[in-house]
Amino acid sequence: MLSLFATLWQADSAFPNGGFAFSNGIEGLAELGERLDGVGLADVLAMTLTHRWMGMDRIAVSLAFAAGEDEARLAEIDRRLDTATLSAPQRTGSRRNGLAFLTAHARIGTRTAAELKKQVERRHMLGHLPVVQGAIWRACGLDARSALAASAYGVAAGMASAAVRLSLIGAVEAQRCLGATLPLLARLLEEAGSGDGLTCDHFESLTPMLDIATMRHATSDVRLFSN
Amino acid sequence: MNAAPQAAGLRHAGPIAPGTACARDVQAQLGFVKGGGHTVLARQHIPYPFHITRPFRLDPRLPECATLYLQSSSGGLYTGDRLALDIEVGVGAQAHVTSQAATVVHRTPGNEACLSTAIGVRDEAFLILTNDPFILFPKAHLRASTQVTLASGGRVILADGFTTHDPEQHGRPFGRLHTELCVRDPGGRILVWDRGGISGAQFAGSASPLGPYRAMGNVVGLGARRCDVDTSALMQRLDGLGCRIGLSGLPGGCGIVVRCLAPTGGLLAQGMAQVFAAVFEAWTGHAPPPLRK
Repeated sequence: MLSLFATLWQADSAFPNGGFAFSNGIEGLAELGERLDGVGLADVLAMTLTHRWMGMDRIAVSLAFAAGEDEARLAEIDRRLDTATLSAPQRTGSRRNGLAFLTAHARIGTRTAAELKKQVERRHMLGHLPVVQGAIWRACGLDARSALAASAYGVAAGMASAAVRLSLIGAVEAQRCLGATLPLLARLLEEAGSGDGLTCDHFESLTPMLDIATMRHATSDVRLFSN
Repeated sequence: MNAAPQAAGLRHAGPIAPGTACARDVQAQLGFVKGGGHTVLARQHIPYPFHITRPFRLDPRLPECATLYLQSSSGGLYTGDRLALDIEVGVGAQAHVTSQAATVVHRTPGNEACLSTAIGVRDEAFLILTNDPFILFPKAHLRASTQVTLASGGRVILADGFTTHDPEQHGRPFGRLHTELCVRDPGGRILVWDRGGISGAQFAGSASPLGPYRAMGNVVGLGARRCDVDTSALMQRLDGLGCRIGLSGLPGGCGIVVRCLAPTGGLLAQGMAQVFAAVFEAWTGHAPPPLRK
C-alpha cells in the first residue's frame, strides 16, 4: 500500500516539482498553428507517449530505478540520455526540471536527494528529469512499475495542464482528454513489461514535429513556458 | 572495416532469411586520402548493386574536394538486402559522396532491407554525405543506420530523408522504418545517438509524429563551422515552400541538426536542398556548387 500512496503523492500536481514551467512542446506546437482542441491534444499526447516517452523517459526511469544509489551508473544513464536528446530546448528543459525536482526533494529530506543535487551542482551529473525521478522515486518507496506509471502520467498531465494555461483548451475538456489517454498509458506499461535487459542502447525516439516545435519555440519573442 | 553491422542497427537484423532468393549481402568500401594537393580515391571496393562515378572536382572554392556520385544499379532496395558502405576519409582529405537520385524501397515480405553506412573521418578531414530521400513503398521495411567516428578537427555534413509512395494510389502504408545515427569520438565515446522507429500506419495516422506532414529529413553538421546558419531566414524560406524546419545545437556542442518536414517527397527534396545549402555555407563559408543529377 505504501507504494500506491507514494505514487499518488508524486503524481499530485500540487507537488512542487518545477514542472509548471515546461510545456514540453505544447506552446511551440500552438505557435505552429497545430490544432490543440480535445481531439488534437489527444493526438499529441498519444504521439508523445508512444514515440518519445516509451523509448526515452520510460527507459531512463527504469534504468535509474534499477541503479538506485549507484551514482556512477546514474551519471552514465544521464549522459547517454543527453546524447539521445537532439533538441537543445528539450535537453535544457529536462535538466532544469530535474534540478527543480531534486531541490524539492532535498528540502523535504528525501533520502539521496541532497547528495544527487550536489552531484548535479558539481557537474558530475547532468540531472535529467527521468534519471533523477527513477533514483528518487525508489527512495520514496514507489515500486518500479509505479515509477513508470507516475512518469507517463506526469508527462501527459503536464502537457494537458500547459494547454489549459495557454487557453488552448478548457479545463474540463483537458481532463476528458487526459482520461481518454489512460488506456494508452496502461497499454504502453503493459508492453514495457519488466524492463529486464534494457540498456542505454535502447534509447530511441522519433518525434520530428515535436522537436521542430521546441526548437522554434526557443527563438520566440514571447513565451509563457521554458520549452 | 565496416563496424555498423556489429555496432548498430544491423545487429538486430539477423541473417538473410532462407528463401529470400534475390537478397544481396554486400559490403562496399571507399577510402579517400589527401595527396598532391587533392583528395584522391585511394581505395574502392564497389560490388553490385553499388556503382560509383569517377571523382569530380566541382567546387572551385574547394578545389581539394573530390565529389563522386554513388548509384544503385538495381533500382532500389529489396527484401532481405544487407547493404553496407564503409567510407574512410584520411587526414586532411575532403570528399562529397552523393546519391544520383531517390532510392525506392520495395516491399519486403518476411525480411527487412538494411542499409548501413560506417564513416571514419580522420584529423582535419571533411566528408559530406548527401542521400536523396528514400521512398518507402507499401509493405516496405527498412533499417537505415549511419555510424560516424569523428576525429579531432574532423568535419561532416550528413543529409537524408524519407517519404512514402503507393504506386497504385491506394494509400497503403509502408511496413516499418528504423533509423539510427550514432556519432562517436575516436575512443568510442558516444556523442550523438539519434535512433527511432515507426510503422507506416503510425507515419500516416492522426497521431503521427510528423503532424500533418508526410515526408521527413535531417541535415546534421558535425565539427567546427565558419559561421552560424541564419535560422530565421532559412525558416522563412522553408515556410514559403510549405515545409517546417527547426534547428538545434547537438549534445556536447559537437554540431547542429536541422529537422525538416514536408507535405510531399517532392517538397522535401526542394526543402532539403535549401537546408543543405545553408549548412554547407556555414561549414565552408560559401554556397555549394550546383550538382547535376
